Amino acid sequence: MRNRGGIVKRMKKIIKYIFLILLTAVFLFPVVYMIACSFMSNSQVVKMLDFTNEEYKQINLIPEMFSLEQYYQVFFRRPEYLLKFWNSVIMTFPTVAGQTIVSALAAFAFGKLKFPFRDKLFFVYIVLLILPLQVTLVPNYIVLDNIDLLNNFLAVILPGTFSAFGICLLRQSIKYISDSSIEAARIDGASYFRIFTSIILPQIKGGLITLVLLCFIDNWNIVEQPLIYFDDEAMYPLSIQLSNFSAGDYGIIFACGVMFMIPALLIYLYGRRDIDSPFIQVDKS
Amino acid sequence: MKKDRIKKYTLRFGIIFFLVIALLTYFSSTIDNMLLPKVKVTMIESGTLDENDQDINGKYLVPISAVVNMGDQGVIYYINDSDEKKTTVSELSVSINSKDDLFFEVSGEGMYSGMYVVYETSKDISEGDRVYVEGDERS
Repeated sequence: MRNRGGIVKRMKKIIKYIFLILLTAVFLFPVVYMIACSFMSNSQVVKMLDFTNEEYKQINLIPEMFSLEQYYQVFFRRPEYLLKFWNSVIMTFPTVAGQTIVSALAAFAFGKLKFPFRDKLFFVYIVLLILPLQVTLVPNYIVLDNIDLLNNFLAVILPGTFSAFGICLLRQSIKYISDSSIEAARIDGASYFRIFTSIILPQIKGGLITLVLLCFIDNWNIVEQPLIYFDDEAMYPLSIQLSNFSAGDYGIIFACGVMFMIPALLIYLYGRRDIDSPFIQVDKS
Repeated sequence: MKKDRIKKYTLRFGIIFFLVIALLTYFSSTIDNMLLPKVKVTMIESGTLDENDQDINGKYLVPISAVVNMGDQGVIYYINDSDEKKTTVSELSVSINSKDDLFFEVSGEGMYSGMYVVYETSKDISEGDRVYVEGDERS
């Protein structure tokens, strides 16, 4: 009886694992396909992605002839892709840094400081968060036009820096920190800035890294804002170039995709443990 | 300990990755130009090799080295500046009317006075190839 129960349990486990492996394969397929195609020759990729009959001719993960031709094209023969990669960097890194700093400070104020209309103001922030991006694009365009920031990277960086998302996320982390530790610090004569840097920040490290990663992904994959705010195509980030290619560039796009994926992957690997447990360092005593 | 090692290697890899991309970007145009076929071009004018022929309409004098000669027919490569960011060559079929030691007298649809044709190249070129024009005298 016990033996049969053990077999059933093991079978359930095997089925569960098979299901999970299949699910993982489905999610990983686009990435694996992109990496595989980046090592194919351009002719093989073009032949494979021939849409003349509005359907794939074939899906092949194994290169007929292993080739670094696409990477050669991206790194040595097509400077425009590298320049667009740096456009992405210029737009993303300041936005991430700015949003993290602004969000941490604002979240501290909304979470721990007492001032008139605090909750009502936070409600306004939540409403801003709920609004779809497309709704705020035109008002943002008009404001940026008035302050003469169109066709400037600041047109993307500034609205991103003051995004409401980070504030909402970090406020939740800060709310877990006990008021007593802040009060104790106040009694000891610590300023609010000292409390923020010495008590709050070390305890919301996980939340900060989560915010950095999410903000990075959000801005790294930006498409709509540059299309609206920039007239000069030379200012477009690589994310736009990846979705705007001619038939002859299929292979290059896959190699660019791999290059484009690396920074996001590195940031995830760097903060992986902290993201797994964003609130672990919170002192709940 | 393992966690720190992953972070350390990730950070190192990230720094190296961005440094390499930065270097490649900085030198990308130079590298690209170095790898492009280097061509020399000359401007062609209307003209004829026959001193008695006064009608030069539709006839052009092209240096011998600029024409890939195939009997009465030939092919020339001219500079296509339609894309401001890159210089490419286009192929044009021409009829060879006569020749002397220096020039072919040719005619062909799409030719015009002031057209820049390739007369010397460091590598084989074909229709649509990007090229680097040496001693570019074009305005």
